[in-house]
Amino acid sequence: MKTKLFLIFLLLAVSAALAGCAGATQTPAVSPTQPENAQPEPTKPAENVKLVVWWWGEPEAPGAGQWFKSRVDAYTAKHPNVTIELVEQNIDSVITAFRAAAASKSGPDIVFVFSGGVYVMEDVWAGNLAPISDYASPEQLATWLDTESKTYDGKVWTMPFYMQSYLMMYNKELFAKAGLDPEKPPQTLDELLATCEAFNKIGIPAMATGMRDAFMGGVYYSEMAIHTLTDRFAIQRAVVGKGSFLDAEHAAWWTALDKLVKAKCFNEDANSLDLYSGWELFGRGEAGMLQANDGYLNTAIELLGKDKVGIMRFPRFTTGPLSESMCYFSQGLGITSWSPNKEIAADFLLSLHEQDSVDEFYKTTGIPFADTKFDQRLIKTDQQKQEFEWISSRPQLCPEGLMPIQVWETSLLPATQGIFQQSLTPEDAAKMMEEGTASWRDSNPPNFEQWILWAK
Amino acid sequence: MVRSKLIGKQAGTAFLFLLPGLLLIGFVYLIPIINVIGLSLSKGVGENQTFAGLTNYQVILKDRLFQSAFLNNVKLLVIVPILTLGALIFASILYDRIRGWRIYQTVIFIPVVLAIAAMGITFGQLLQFKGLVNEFLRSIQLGFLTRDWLGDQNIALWTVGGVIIWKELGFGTILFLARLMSVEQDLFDAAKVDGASWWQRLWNVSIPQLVHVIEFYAILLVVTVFSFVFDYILILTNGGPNNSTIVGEFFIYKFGFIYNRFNIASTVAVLYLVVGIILMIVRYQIVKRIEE
Amino acid sequence: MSRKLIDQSKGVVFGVFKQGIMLLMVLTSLLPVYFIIVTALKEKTEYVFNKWGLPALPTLQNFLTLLEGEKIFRWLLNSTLISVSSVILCVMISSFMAYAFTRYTFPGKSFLFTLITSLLVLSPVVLVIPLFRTMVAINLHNTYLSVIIVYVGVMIPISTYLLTSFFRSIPQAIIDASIVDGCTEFQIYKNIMMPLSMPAVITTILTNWLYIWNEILISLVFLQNDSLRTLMSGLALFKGKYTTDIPLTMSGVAVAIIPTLIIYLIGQRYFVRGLTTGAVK
Repeated sequence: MKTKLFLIFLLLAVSAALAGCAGATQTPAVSPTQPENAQPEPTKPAENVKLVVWWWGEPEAPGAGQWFKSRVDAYTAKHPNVTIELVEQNIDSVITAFRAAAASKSGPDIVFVFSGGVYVMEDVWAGNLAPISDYASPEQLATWLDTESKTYDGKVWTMPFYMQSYLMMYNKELFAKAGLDPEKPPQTLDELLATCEAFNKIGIPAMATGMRDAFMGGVYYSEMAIHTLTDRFAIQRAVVGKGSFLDAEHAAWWTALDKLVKAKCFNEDANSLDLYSGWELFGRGEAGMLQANDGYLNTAIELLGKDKVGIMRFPRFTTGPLSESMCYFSQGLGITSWSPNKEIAADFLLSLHEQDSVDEFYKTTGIPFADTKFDQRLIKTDQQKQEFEWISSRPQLCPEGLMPIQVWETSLLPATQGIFQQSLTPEDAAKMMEEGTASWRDSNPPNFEQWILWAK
Repeated sequence: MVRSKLIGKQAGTAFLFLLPGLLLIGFVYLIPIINVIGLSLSKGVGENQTFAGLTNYQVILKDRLFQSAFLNNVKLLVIVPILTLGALIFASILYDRIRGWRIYQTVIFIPVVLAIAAMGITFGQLLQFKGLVNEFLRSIQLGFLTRDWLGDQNIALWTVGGVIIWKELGFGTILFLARLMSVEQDLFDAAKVDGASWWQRLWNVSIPQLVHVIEFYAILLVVTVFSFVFDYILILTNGGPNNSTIVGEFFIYKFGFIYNRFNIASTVAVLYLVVGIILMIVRYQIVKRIEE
Repeated sequence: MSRKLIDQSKGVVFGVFKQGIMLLMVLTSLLPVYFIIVTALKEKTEYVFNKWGLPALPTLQNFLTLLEGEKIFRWLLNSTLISVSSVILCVMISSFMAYAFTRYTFPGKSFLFTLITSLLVLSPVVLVIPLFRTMVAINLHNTYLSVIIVYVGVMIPISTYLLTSFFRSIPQAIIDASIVDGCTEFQIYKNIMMPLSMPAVITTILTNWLYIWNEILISLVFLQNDSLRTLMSGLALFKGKYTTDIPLTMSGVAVAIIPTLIIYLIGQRYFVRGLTTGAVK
């Protein structure tokens, strides 16, 4: 018993000791290795400062971690009084842990914030972020891409990081095999349905997907639903009750999706695969088309060969005012409202938009940085050149940030699964959206006043 | 007089033994529960928190998603009798010391020690429509049994239940087996001499001897179903397809952490706590009845 | 005579049935383990075309990538420290409580017991944010101690419940005899109750261990620092990070399950023996 007790105390002592050294993250650590006669820059405070950065991005931009490390090294070499700790998160934990951190207003100085719209606004409205535009010059702001979705009350709240767009790609070899013209992918819904038929004849699914985790439902919504909207604020209006998801402009796309499912355009195991397993079908050359992101375009080119992969726009089924728009966005990095070193944090963030950093990001990851300064001559593939041309010439609209996350996840995504299961009709799906939104409105959501303002 | 003194002294000693536990429970449960009850009666959090009476409860009790989440918890309770009975049968078979029982006994416990997170990924692959499980069924001429295990909204919840059974069966089996092994052999021998069949011995000898362990195991399973299925759901189905596998804990996590709806999440948490208290009172009454 | 034959053949059929059911169990129990191990030894490109077979050319590259890129050993150390200290503390504290509930009568006893056991049903998800706020207020977040406190607290209800129900089955006569021998209360707890309750204590340790070792949410929120992460929350990163690389993910999974598996395989003999010895009939 004595030895047992001793063991317990030993363990507690060890854990307390280790906890002691780890607990130091809260207080700015004085690095013993730091040269004492380092010349601090005259404009910057001379005392030692520690910044904690929570970031995510490796899955979308493989190599982002390596780039981040090299930028931190470059920055801290110039500013020896600053230490920067990079903490990699995953997309779930960066949200989960940040909610807890925000609840007690303690946590990182810089945080990854997904895309724009509500993902940014919820933290803006809750007072968790400090606007980055307060620290940037108009010249610096001018070159950032996709700042509009991060703007509220005339201020830009997170700094654009790297670009993402939902792309549709197709396999030229399989198109030829199905007796289709590999240089003329379908452009209208009817052409797409005909393409599905041609693919069904050769026993290969026309479109690859994986609906088990439902995220692909969001991709389809982003690609299809925006085209029938009458204007940019239609979704927000339906959210606050000044419009309805039962209206034709919102409900039309459900019928289109239903037609695709009924025409057997997708792989038959669509419901049991998760998003990435669905994408893999295309990567293995087992499906004709795929909607995915920039990172997977690079993977598909690597797997299938440069000449086999084409990119196309999602076939149109309407000629509405927004039918030319496309969903592309930049991920963001924000400064927390409780950070004691906001200026230094901003200075570090702004350094990421310097020319060499922007170019280095693409060289390391193959994903463009969200800045017009990005040297487009660096682009390695024709497919990406085409994509960038579209991005720079077409209006942007991404619906994911335009409705409450609760409605997105408990109504929209499940309803797309319902269409895939054929357990919901297009009318049911529209009704589910409207009911889900109404139940959100009726449940005293926080910041409803801001929503109304934001919806114009 | 003497009696009350004795009780007084007993209470003092009891208090000393209870103190460390009560302090920790107070810290880990009491503060959060007060906080959660407060939030469930309010609108907004932190500086914006205002009293809202019972409106959150009215909203939540009418909410279709919450209703189906609660119903799913109740449906999953089916695994409690299945697992208890299954574990009893497996324990009895092992107790017969059939050939290779030591190896079986080792193997049956392996799923218990494997991390759910790890198993979720594996089962996600195994149970695909074109996955190994269906391939296997086809190869043994049972092709008509193939299903879209996780992709069909009518089956997904039961598949999750099946995975929980897979994971938890070994624990019950070993618990019961261990208890059986400490029962005196004479009891079984006597029953055999009396000509009792295998099933009769299970029913008349084993179960009465195992009552306490069975009760513990069943309670543990009920608790698992109500508040520890989150990992399974998150990794296997993410609540889908079409919300068919949402359970209370998943609901609380999503509303609290992802949707930024602390008040709603807290309300559901309070409701589940109330269910917990009711279940425990029922248990207490049943145990009292049995003991009488 | 013929009846005996029927009985015998019935016995044989039943024996075959028993073996069959066991073999099926072995198959389903080991299949996932097989999948994890063979996949971890495959190259990403091989896995795309060969999902279930043995690797054509087994490679350890996945494990090397993992060890290079992540602080696996640090996470393993963290998990071990946190799990071992939480389990020991929890068993001590819960057994004290169980002892009090078994040995003494005091006002409000059954109320308190029902209250504590009903906490069982409260999902830890609910506790996370309020507890995190408290930890920040007392400056304990980002320490091992914070998660240890939470884990012990979360596991006290189930452990107390289990130990109490076992302590109650220990005959009063044994305790009375020890009182006559002049044992103090603590000695009764230490020398009588605990040794006689080995099966329950082992079950408690196991239940605690499995929960704490595999827990993700609490450790993710409370330990927000790469070098403090537990193995499981570190590996949770994998879900997003290498989703397209199943073999690499599986090598992570293998690292996560192999320590527990080895401990179990070595210890299982003692574990089962512990569960059966000292049991009171």
